[in-house]
Amino acid sequence: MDFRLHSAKSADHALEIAAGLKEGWRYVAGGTDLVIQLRRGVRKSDDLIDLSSIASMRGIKEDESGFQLGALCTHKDIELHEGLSAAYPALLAAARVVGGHQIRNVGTVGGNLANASPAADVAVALLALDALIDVKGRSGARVVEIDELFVSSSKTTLAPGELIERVRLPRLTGETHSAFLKVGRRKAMEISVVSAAICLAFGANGVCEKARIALGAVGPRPLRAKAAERLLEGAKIDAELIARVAAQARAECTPRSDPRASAAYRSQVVEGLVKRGISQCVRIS
Amino acid sequence: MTAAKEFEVVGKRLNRLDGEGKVTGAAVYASDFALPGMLHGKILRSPHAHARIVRIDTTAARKMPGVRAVVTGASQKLNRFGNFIKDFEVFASERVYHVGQPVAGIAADTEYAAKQALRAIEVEYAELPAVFDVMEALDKAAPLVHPDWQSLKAAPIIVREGNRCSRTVIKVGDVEEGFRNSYRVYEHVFRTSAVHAGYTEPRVAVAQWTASDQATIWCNTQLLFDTQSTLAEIFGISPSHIRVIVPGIGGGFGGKLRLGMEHYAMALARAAKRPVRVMSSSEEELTAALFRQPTTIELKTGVDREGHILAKQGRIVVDAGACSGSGPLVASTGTMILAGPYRLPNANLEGISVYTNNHPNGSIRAPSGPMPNFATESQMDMIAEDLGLDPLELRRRNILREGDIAVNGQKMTAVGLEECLDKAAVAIGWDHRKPEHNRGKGLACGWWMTSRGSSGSYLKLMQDGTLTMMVGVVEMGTGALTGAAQVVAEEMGMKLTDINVVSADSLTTPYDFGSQGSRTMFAVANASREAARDLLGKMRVRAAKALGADEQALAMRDKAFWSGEKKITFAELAAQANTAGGGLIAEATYIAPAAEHDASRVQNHFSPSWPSPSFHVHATDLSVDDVLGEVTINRYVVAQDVGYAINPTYLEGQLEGGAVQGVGQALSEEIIIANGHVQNGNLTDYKMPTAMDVPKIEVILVTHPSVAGPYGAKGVGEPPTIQPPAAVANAVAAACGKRIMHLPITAEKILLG
Amino acid sequence: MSTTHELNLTVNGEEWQLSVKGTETLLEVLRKHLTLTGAKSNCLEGECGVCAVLMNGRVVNSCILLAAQCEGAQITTIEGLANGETMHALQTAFLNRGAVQCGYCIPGMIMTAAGYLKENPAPTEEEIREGLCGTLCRCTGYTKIVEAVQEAAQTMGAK
Repeated sequence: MDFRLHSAKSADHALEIAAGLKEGWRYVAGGTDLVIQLRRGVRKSDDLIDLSSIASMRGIKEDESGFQLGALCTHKDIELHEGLSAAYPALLAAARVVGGHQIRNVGTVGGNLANASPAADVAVALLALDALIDVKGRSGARVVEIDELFVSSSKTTLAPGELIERVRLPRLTGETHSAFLKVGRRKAMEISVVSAAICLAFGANGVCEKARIALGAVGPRPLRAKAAERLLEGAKIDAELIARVAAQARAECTPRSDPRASAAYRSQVVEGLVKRGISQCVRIS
Repeated sequence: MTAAKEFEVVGKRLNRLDGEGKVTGAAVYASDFALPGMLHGKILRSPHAHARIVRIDTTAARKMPGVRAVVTGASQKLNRFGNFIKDFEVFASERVYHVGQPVAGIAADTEYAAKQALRAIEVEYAELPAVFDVMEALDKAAPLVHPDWQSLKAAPIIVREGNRCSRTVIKVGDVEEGFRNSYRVYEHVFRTSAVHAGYTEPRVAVAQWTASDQATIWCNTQLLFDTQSTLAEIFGISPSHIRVIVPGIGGGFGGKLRLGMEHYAMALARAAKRPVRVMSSSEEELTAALFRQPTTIELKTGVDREGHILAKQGRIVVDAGACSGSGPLVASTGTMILAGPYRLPNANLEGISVYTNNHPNGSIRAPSGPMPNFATESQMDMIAEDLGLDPLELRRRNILREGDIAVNGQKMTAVGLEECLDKAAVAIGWDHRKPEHNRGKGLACGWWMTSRGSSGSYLKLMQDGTLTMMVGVVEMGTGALTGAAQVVAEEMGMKLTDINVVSADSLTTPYDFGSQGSRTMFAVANASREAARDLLGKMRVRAAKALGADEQALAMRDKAFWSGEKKITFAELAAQANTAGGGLIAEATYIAPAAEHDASRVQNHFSPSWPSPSFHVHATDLSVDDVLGEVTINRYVVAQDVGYAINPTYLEGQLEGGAVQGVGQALSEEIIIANGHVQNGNLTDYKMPTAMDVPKIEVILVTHPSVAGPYGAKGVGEPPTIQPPAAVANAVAAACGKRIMHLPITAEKILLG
Repeated sequence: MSTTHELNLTVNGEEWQLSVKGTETLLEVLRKHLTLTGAKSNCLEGECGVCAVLMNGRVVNSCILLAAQCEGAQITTIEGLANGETMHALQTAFLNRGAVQCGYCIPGMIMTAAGYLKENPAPTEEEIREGLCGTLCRCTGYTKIVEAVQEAAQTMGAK
């Protein structure tokens, strides 16, 4: 691995550095994925722009609208933030199963999103939670709905130079429950073979008003099973419906076979995870 | 033995002698070792499974910044090597026969420069037909991995034919007759995958030539003297001109028995005329180390109505990879594990090793233990189920007991198997074998041997009254040398901390067969105890003279000899000897006696005698998630007949660690190979158990003392890795009814299988 | 092509001003620049944890952390864990519990445990297992390591 490392003092400074570089540069925050990829040679970059010392991109803030997570928030910051983890159990569950503590202390939420791995745990949880991504570029700032962020493995809709400044989570209203589940070969230190994040909002009558089913490692990007979500919305959830929703979610996946698991296994397991995830949310309500 | 006597040092849970350095970071490992002016070496490896090398051009690489030497098969004349067949080359000369085979090496100022320069080496290959499946490789029409196999030098015990590089047979009685008399005959095929040893310190070597025909190597081998002689053979120089030193080793588990990086470091250091360090990368570890061989096992067993085994026929086919390595030994020993610790009136068991164009494999902890044990013990449960018998009861009806004759004709003594079986069953709660839905319990029996091989020990009494023990083995972490020191301390009436251990320098320490085969503590302690007795005799003579007393009348306590109220301390004895001459030193060697067996039962067998056998039973209680197929181990019990526990703490450590290593092979670990290419060559995708994947391992020490072992001890290090795959497979079947016949038992196989 | 960076680092209480390359990791700086070889080198991909050290009190894998990103950080390695001549409770417990075999993972394992105990000073056995999951040990099967961490937690809590 060989590159020039440029230290950015602010988001604007980072954009300025980026504008002066030839193509092939990358932003680096925690580096827990990037450094490995560079060392393996699966990615090459002549220039890295280090975002890690940008103070404005750190920290978790809470206001009436919800929570704001600086892009440099680590997985451990999420885990240790009581308000955040109480409000979004799916996010807490996802943040707690990324690598070991060493990785969680360094890996960032911005990196998890920008890396755009279809198996990224926190990204899948944020997808179910309708996160909004504050993005900054040379031409100004914009807000990207998380579902609009991912294109395919390691590809996002971010324009060249754009960086993720923060992630916003809308305050959940009423009776809302979320869950995150993952499957791997081991019980820790796993890149998800399949993951599922479910977020369900219920009305006073127990009817599901809003449903989000986000799935990891079963397609080219973290994806939402939207047809399955529609089956839930406006319905009273029972075992029969859960089974139908899970089957529908499975039908919306296009898993691949790789050394970690076969497509057939992923397909079967995603159905099981969705079933289990919905049941968890329903049981809590 | 004299179990009734209370000992002062042996049998005690004392802290290991090398412990403090290891918890403070002061301990130096081979990977920490560096010399001034040292270069860094990297290896260029073949991308092809079988190809002719048409051309190698290193011109551009030599001009790269920082490059000091480039070595290829053509640039240095190096001899072939190999455990039993000389089928390894240091660098490929004309042909490559597996992916990852070294083709060239570069030494440069930095590792990075060496790595960059590798890309500048141009190699033109002409691909040749390759074979990856052992069964296909046995076909007469298959491409030969070594077309020149007949000209490759081999040990006399090796019987070869094309790609089949060895064959061993054990025969007892008449199996056909046995099958005819059987109430039921069961036939199954089992398969196991390659696994890595999993040591956390990669293989590393620093080599320095001190003269044109003399070199010193600092490395992390388990076998000093085998490394020394193999390097001598490769470089065509005298073994005593090669000094091998192990500063410290971060785990071995068999994966560091044979040459790792030593020969590359030596070749590069010779070319560069500078010290060179070569360290295996994580990727190289998982794509180009010596893995535990994958196997295919065919097993046919006939039983009577009560489940007594009447006949057993089996064959273990070992995928040696492109170089035979330990394949012949593993295939051979595998026949004993196929037999298992059972009474077999009729048996015909065959072990063959086969060349393929897969990566060469080697011996990992209990080299042929887990694979045939998985087959045999899985089948025992399948038989029990079919006969409607409790698997525990089926085993009780067949196990070897005191005085029984084993499959090799050896009369069994100190057999703790039944006690292990009973205690493990009670501990796991066998009466409630299926405590709830998707939860079940399984167990597996096994046996193993204490390998032979010579150990030596030099002792010297120091001027401060302590004792220095110099031995030629490597302390791999097992605590073997702390155990041996406890034995010496006991003999000498000293404290454990009075023993200074010097080890692992081929020039200064005595010959040793090495840290392998569950024999390190066993043999080193026996040799050292012998030496200690000799030394005490010499000390007693001097003491008697000094005190003007009769030798026999002297009492020994508190590191002194006493005649009434008069005493001379060990320190005074040493000082006196040092000034007056005739220093107090002693030496001894030990080799375990071979166990008597019936030679007419075996053909071309590497280990037909089974010295100081150990017996063991593992039992586990696990749950299977019926939606995901995931296995959760709730409890895991190891009952092992260890003979005697010299230091129960480190003995437990062996059993706990071995069991978890075995659980890794059972559930999650496999080197996934497609057409000779490893698909998961990193620790992200090679899945060793984490602390969350296993529960506390519950250990039961059973002690049926061995006659030969120190204080009755038996070899203990390898056995705990043997039974986990079978115990887990049986528990999975009990939990959810799925019988997995191919390791590892992944969630995917359970769910879709 | 690599860049050079001035780096202020406090390692085991000692202040260092170093000039490092942009590509260098914290592990390389510790082992090569400072010759502190307690943090070990293995996978270099953050998967095994033998390189674990504390950065500002939190455990990190030094093998994948770019050193230049550690400006101003407080680093504690296994060499700096003891209080003068007195070993840290974790070191004592690992030694007394027989939790050490080859020892290669032990510096990383102890630092992982040290980081975790700051977060959770009185963990259950299950929590300890989760706390240690990022560091692999092949020798021990973790049983005695978990016991040692439990014992150390009690000792530290009693103080």
